[in-house]
Amino acid sequence: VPMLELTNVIAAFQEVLANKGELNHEVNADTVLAGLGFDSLDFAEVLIVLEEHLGSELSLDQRIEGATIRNFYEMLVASLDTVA
Amino acid sequence: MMEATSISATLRTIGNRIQSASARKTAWKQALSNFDSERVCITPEEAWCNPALACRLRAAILQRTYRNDYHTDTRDIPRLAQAIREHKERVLFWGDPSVISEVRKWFSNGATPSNAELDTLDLGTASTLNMEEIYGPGYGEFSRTGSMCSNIAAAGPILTDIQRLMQGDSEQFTAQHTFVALPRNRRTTAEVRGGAAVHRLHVRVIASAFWGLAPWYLMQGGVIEVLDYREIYRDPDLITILNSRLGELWVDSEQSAALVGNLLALNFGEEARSAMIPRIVEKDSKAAAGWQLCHTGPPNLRSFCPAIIRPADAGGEELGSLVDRASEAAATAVFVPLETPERASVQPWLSRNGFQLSAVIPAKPAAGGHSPILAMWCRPRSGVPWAEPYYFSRRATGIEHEILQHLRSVYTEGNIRGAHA
Repeated sequence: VPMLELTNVIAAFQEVLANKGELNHEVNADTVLAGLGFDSLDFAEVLIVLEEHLGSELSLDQRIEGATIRNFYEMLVASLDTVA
Repeated sequence: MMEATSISATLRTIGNRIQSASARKTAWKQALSNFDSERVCITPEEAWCNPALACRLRAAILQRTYRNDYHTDTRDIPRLAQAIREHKERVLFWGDPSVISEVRKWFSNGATPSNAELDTLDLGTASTLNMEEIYGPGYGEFSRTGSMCSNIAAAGPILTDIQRLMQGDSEQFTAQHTFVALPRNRRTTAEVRGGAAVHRLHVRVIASAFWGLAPWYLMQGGVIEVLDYREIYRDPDLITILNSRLGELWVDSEQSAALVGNLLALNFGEEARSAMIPRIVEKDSKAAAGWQLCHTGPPNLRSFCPAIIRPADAGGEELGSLVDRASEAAATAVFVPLETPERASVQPWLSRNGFQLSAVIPAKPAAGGHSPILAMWCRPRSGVPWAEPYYFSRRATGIEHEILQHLRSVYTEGNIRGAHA
């Protein structure tokens, strides 16, 4: 059964960056989201990649200014726990 | 950590059974609970105060969004301003509160900022058009959507406007029972921003009804995008009732019958599929008379737009000659009524001539009863590459799986099945 891991989230950000042609943009757990130049549509594409991995729906209603990829992952896990 | 499968809803790829009016109202209200539209939106009714500015600002945003590779009807400012003046179009804008505050003054005091000034504004826009020309009475369309605004998500402004429209707050736009949307859905590339996120907004938040694919427009990068054909209803309960008792529907094959049945079941439940009695028309049909070419796009944009053919109210022409006349269009779409064999018998001819059953337009309220359920047969212009929906590569289950199996078999890998390839 697929589970949401931090590595999945990092890979999802890398995939969306690669789709945009930003192949040299390195990301890790401590990458600050604000530095990626993403808008809401880009973050939605990250969720689409993760949903495909999980086979289930994700949502993220919290504000993410100043957050890192690790924070983003923790928010997603918390939202899943809330649903559970 | 929780296991994902134990805690979240089944993944919806293209759509779900349409919500009742009350359930939809609740869901939209919840989605907008933290959204302050007043500070970040200029409503279409405010934009009506300065039609020329609305047109110029919309064109500026869309050209920047699509990197000057945007070929829909947005640049003929005098004509479009007149359409806005006559309340045939509504134009929404959104953006940072400080910018919106300034632009709001322009709308209210009749200002005429320069094009250079407009090009500095990082705003978003979406339009609502009266679309009787293509679909018939009672139809509008959500279109002309683009955004250069990175700090206000499009979901809030767009959903707020749809909610206002559905509850009748836009007094000049209360006659429509259906609003069509053809959201982009292609995968993002380095050169072209895709539509996966916008598509997700339609599936999850707006909850528009999926009725198939519309490979209609030649878009960014010289590619025909195989767009979704989706609908939003002012009264979803009435549309559900109308389409849950259709009876005989005439199609060209068992495969087409399966697609129509699956789309009815996806949107209205198994009872709608059960009420459908599929009938197969004669295979040796000809291109009958009684049709009209109702839309071709503006003269200078015809090669970028679809030609739409539908039954003529009276008289009309032979279908084959209309299809030939539409050869310049990016694609040709023929709307075929399915409830009687007379019109429906043209479908084998369409199939033999490279058209594919791409979408269904369900029955709608009309004077004296309902307008017939329509099959949308499409044929993109030969030799033009197209971009398939991002979700063609996704897993799906149940009815969604069956619908996607059919659509993938028709539109995949930039080519089309059948004689037109």
